[in-house]
Amino acid sequence: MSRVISGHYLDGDSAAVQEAQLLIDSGEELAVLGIAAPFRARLASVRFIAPVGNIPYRVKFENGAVFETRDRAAVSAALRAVGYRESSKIVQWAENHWPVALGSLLVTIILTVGFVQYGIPALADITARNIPKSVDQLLGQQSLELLDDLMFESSNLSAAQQATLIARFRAMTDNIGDGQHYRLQFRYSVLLGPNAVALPSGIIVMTDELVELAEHEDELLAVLAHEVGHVKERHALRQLLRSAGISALALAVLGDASSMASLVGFVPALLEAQHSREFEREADAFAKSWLKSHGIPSSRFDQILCRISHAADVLADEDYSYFSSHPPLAERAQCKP
Amino acid sequence: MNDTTTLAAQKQHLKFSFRATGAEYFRIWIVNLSLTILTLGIYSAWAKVRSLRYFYGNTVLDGSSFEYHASPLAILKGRLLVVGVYFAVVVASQFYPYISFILIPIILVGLPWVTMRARMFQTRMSSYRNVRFDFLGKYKESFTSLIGWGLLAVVTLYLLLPVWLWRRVKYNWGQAAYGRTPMHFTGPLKGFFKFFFKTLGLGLGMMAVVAAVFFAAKQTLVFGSIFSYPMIAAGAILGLCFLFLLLSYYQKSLFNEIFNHLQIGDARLQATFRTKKLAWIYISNFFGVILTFGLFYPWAMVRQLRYMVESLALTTEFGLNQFAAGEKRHTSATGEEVGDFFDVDVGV
Repeated sequence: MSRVISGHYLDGDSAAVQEAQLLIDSGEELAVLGIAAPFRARLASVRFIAPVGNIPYRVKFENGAVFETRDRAAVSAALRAVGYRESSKIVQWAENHWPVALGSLLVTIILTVGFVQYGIPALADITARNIPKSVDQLLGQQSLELLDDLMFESSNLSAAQQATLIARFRAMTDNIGDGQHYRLQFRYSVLLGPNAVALPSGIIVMTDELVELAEHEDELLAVLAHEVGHVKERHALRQLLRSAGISALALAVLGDASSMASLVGFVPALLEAQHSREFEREADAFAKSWLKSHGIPSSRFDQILCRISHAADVLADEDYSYFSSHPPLAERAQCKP
Repeated sequence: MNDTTTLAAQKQHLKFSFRATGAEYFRIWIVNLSLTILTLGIYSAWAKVRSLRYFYGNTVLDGSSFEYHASPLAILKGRLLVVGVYFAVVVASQFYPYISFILIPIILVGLPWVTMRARMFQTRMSSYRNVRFDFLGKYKESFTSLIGWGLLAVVTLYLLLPVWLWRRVKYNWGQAAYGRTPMHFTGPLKGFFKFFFKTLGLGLGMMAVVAAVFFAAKQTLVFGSIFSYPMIAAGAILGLCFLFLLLSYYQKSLFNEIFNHLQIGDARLQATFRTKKLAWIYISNFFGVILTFGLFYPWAMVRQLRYMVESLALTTEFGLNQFAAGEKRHTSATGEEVGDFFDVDVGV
């Protein structure tokens, strides 16, 4: 068997190409022949750069010169024949075999779905449990100022009206004892309409429009309980951690494909909506259990929810459920026609 | 530089060719992607190097291929640094929403440095025939072209955006070198103004067409709403195709403008990018990737790169053997990773 391998010699001083032969004739040395100044080099001083796919096999010498050949099988065979062990190349072997590639595809699909559906939410929630409540305070510190700038105006409700609701709210939150500092505030907002917002710092903002829309005080308590549920379950922090986890995963998967990244950019948004719906369900569950334990019929919650939806005249939730931040109304409350 | 007495003049027209195949790249891509996920992203640096080695090694000119040299560890180090800074900023901005005001001056000063380092890394980690590419651009020029002309463009309501782009191309390509031979970018500013405003006109024209179709549909549709699903889907697909067409026109003009005016020693590049071909590749790739849930990605990538590589050619009087190597230098991967990560691909 001939151990002479033909290829190109590139001296590294200029872009000149010289036809050359590589001869691997012992376990100690190899020779580059066919060029103006043929030479020998010790195998130990040479780097064998294994190709990726069909690219040339490159043999790099100490002085920076390179011998390259497309006949990579010949190099491997010659090295094997003289008993020289190429460093193991598991990845290269895997890349060259279809069954392994298809197995990798399966692994990729299973791991991605698993991470996104279970791994990241679980990791994020464990992390959240180990983060002190003071962080929640920091998280929402400037949110109210920002919202006041963007969409809120001061409330037109009477002081008496506000005081009654605040007293009921205190009664609701005083016994939770989870270290959150719950406060209730009122604002007027054309943009939001009848609505309530929970900030991670424990501030809950209720709009004048919502107070006007309610037909019974218990309906407002139902909404407040829902918002308290958001704060108690730390949804803002958990959402932040989950988004960070998904960004990190997306970065890992798409990091090499920045040109394609924009294409799949909507996936995190999709998942964020999914998490948001999960959190809404948690908050609904908290509200309903609170109502039950205080002898208020859960129909109060249904009624106010139906009226808010009706007032907001939202697009039929069912049609857009994959993108929407709330579960479909039909799932959350039973509305009377 | 060129010793004309010893080098026989032999005008050569050399075409770039691309030998990668979708099937082969699929195996490389999926094996490395699964390893990346298994290692929670750590392996992504190795995956990147393998992909680039494969693509460079399959880009062939005059019988020789290009080579990518970056070490995965350098890239990993850069990535970890970038990820750390990124999350620090994200977390901090949750606590202090106004932190961006403090960050603006830091970014204005830092971005030219980052883009410069990224360009250095890209060029110096690439070689052809065992001669490395190089980048000789300085920070000062990076700052004036990127920030100085960038701000001027903003102040003039983007009328001077072509000047900014032209300056960036001059910096990124005109300051590059192959071995010891510097590259020269000789493209006139006029060309940039021309294609820039043509792109703008084309975009406005497309918007007019979309608006006309929209109103025509609204008039003729008596039954059912214009906001029905099929109408929205048809509108979105049409809009997307228009966007790709616009992008293709812009890229084709930019690439032709760059590569038809790039000289390396006596060698001149030629580019023959065409809007229709580019748009067809982008549109078919986009739908191919979407409809196969991403599985078509490797084929899409290879198709796109093949068209880009094979639209280039090079003419030289004295052949490619004349080029001498420069001194050997190293630069860290952080610069390039910062550029990649924040997706500020201003390097055109």
